[in-house]
Amino acid sequence: MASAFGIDTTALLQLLKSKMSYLQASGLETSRNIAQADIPGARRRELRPFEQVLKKTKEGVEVAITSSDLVKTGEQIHREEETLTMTNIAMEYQGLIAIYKRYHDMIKMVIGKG
Amino acid sequence: MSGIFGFSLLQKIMSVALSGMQSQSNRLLVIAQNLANAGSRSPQPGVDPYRRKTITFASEFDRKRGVEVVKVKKVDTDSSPFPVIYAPGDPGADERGYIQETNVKAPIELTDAMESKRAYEASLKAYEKALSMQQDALSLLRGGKA
Repeated sequence: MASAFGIDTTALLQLLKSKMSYLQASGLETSRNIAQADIPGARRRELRPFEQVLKKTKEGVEVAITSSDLVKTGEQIHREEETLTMTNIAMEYQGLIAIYKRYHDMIKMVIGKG
Repeated sequence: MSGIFGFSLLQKIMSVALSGMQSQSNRLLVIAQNLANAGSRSPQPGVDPYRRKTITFASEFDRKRGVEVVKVKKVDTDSSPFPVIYAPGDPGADERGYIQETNVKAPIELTDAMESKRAYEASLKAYEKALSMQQDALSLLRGGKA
C-alpha cells in the first residue's frame, strides 16, 4: 500500500475511481428517468447513496454497482428535477476529474517529471 | 464496467438519452400529422374524416447495448366522436346538411408539441452531460486541463 504524508494514496485513488463509477451509474438511472417520463406508470429509480454502496465494498476494492443498489422510489418522475440531477452529476464528475489530474500531477512532481 | 473511466456506462447514458429523443421525434411527427389535418372534414357523405392519432411509449431492454431504452409502443387512433357541424353547401354534407369534422383539436396538439419539445430537450441535455463527462475523462489522456 503506497503511503505518503500519512495518506494511503492507493486507497485515495481507488475511492476516486469508485466515486466516478458510481456517478456514471447514477447518471444512467437519471437518464433513464428522463427518457421514461412519458411512459404511463413509469416510476423514478435511483441508486443508494454512495456512502451505503461503499460500506458493502471491501477496503481497497473498486465499488461494483449491482441491482441491489437500485432503489425504486415509487415516485412520479419530474423531468426538470432529473435534468438538475444530471447537471449535478456532471459537475461532480468534472470535479473528480480535476482532483484526479492534480493527483497525477503530484505523482509526476514527486518522481521528478513535473 | 470497461476501463478506468467506464466509457461503456457513459455510452449507455447516451443510448438511453438518444432513445428518449427518438421517441419524442416520433411523437412530434404524429402531432404534425394531426395538426396538418386539423379542420378537415368528411370528403363525402358516409366517409369518416381524419381521425386523430395517438402515440404511446414503453420501455424495452436493448440486448445489443445492454440497457433499458424507450421505444414507441403503439400509434393508435383517438376513438372520441367526430364533431358534427351544419354546412349544407359542403360536398361532404349529408342530406340533412350536416358534416363530420376531424376530432383533432389544434390547441391540444400545440400543447402536446410544447411538452414533447421540452421532453426532447431534457433528453438532449442528458446526452450533452454524458458527452461532457466523456470529454472530461478524455482530457486526462490528452494531458490538457481538466
